[in-house]
Amino acid sequence: MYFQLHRRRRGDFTSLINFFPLLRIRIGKVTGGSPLIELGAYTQLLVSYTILGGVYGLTALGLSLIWGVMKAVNWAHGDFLMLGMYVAFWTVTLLGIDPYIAAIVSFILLGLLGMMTHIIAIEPVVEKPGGHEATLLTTLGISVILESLALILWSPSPRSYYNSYKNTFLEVLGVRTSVAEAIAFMISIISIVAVDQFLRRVRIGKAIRAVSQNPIGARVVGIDVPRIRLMTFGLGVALAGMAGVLVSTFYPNIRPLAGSVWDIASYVVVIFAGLGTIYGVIFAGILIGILEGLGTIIFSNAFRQILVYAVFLMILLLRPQGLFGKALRRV
Amino acid sequence: MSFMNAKAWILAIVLLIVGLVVGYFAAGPGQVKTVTTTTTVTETVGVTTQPTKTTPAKRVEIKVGVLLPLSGDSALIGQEDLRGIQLAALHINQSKYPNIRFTIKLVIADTQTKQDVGVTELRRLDQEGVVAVIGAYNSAVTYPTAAEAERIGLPYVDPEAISDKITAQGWKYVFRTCANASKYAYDTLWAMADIAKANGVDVKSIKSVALIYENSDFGVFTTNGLKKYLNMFFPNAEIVYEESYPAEEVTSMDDMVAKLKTKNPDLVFHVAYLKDAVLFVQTMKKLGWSPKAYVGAGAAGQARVEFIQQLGSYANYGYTQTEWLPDFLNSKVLSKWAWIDQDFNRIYGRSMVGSSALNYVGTYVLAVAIQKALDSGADPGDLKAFRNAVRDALETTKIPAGELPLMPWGVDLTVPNHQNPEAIVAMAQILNERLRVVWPLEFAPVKAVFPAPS
Repeated sequence: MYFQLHRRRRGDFTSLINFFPLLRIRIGKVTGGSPLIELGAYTQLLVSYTILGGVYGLTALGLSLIWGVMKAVNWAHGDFLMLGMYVAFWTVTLLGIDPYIAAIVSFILLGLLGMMTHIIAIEPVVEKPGGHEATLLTTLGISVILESLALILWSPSPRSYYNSYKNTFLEVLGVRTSVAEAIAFMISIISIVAVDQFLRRVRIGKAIRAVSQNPIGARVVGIDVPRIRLMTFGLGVALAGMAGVLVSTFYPNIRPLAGSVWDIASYVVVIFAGLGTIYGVIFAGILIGILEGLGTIIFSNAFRQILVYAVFLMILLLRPQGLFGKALRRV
Repeated sequence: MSFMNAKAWILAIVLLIVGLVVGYFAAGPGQVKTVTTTTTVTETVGVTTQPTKTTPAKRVEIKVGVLLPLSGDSALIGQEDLRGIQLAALHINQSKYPNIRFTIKLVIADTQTKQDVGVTELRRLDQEGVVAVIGAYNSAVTYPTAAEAERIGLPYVDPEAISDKITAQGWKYVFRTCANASKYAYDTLWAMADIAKANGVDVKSIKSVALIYENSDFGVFTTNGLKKYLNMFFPNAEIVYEESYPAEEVTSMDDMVAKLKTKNPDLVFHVAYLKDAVLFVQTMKKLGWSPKAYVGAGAAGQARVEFIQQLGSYANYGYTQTEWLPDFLNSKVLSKWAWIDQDFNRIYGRSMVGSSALNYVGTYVLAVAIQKALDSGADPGDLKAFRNAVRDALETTKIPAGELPLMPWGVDLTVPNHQNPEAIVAMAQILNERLRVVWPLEFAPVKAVFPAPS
């Protein structure tokens, strides 16, 4: 059905050729029609999808941290992101504060919520036999509870708040972007560098890395592993909360199920990047953003996920440790 | 071996209790409605308006089923629909319409925006002994529930779901008072052609259009209608770009707008929900491109007040279909219905919107038919016979424009497919961050701006 529609559209068969301008110039008369997009628009789209990819990196950062350190998949990641969006909505609309201050508020609140969640639902099961599977299930339960609570408290009605950042645009060398997207991208980069430096230079960060690499060894050298896990989960959720606020500054969809749009992308980013690679997350995010862009530019919107998941499958087959992860050596 | 320590057991029990409590409430208002099926409208909202003294001492009470998405994804609109139905029932019970001389008892059921729940609830309404059903907003839910009503022999009035296929089956018990998706598309083009002409633009000069739509039934059917009727109104127009997308998943529309910018169509028709409509306009502004007219077809995302709230002045000059706006009441023909909106305002603190107005009208039409059935001597005590009498009455219902509350159109259900051919969908333009009716021209208090200033 789709292909029939697709064929009827003029110019779409030429879209692949149009994507390579040199090729099109050579056989321009044969292909006919106008190019799918203007040449200048390629730069624009490259920048747009790089920015989007950077934001994917930020939304995946907290997930990567928890997954990498605790080897636990946080199924409620998208819901914490959604809570961050609501924190932005309520603080901006009720208190009238700037959404970027709301990001700090969200970081703190969600961090505390994350630690509370860890104490109640993660720590009691994480060290039990089959603990990783149990964690997956408890976080799934948390996800259902958070979504249901959000539906009860705030209704399924989508919300958003007006902010001048998303309606103000920057133009550099003919490439335009909204201030909100540009700031989100910059904060993504800064957050990733900050988390990396925190893990490398700060004592607790080093302890987190130690637990990530060898929890038993870390315990032997006196690291309080449960405390480190608590801090890691809190930090991961805090980052999700902050990402939620930043997404809400340019993405007009605050509602109880809004997190699901971003958490799927986050899981893909983490697997693309490989577990435990902080910088890898940003590169994987940008790669996915660009792949989505390529899918839509060359083919159509229906292809955006196809291209991403095709590459995703290839990576799983050829490099299961992810693009930036280290392979485990068989001894 | 210790299977689990006491602390973990306590935690598990606490979580279970929390889960049960949350689950109970998360089931939404529908479950509560199921219990309180006998709640009458006068009991629900009657406190705000006193019944008139002309109410007869004893009037027949007729049970009408209301099937709406009161929880789930479409809960917000479902609740707005319910407000319209409840107000209509209230007015009927207060004898505001002298031609209707019975009282309505609404039996409310929640589809939870799910097809299977909708069908189950319809069966429950049947068992409750309702004489007819009104609903169910979502086309995807209306279609199977209407099919079930047809099987049961229960009259079913669809005041808002627009999928063409609902009235294309030749069902005997199913009636639609609003326009269908094809008519929405037809009216979109009709409106834009009229608006172009009124602004001195020759419709033949419109050479290119683009069709952007979300890829569910709503977007697909409306767009099919646009394709079908395009050249009837714009003879030289060619579809230069067409793209669909999944509304729930889309995170960026840069590619679509970039492609549009290259094709530079004169008109862009966009069938969208709220989020994607906002994202699209934001992206058009970001990439610095706009067509002569950006038209929201299907009266969905762009018709929502949040569309303007989120975009601010960037929403200006965009067009959107709308079923009803208070602007209608400024016209001579419709000003006599202002009291309905005033009552709505008294109860809910704001004017009606398209959803509530359509459902008000649907309830009114059903009530007219029920009265006809009563006048024919049918006995409400014999449910099966009375349902058939209501069906027969619906099939002969014809209300001319001007006599139908709120709307500038009339109702004619005497046509073979029971699809009201007289319903039209108005066009509004956002001017000074406010939705204003600009078509039909005789009901437009302001003149449309066409083409939009770049």
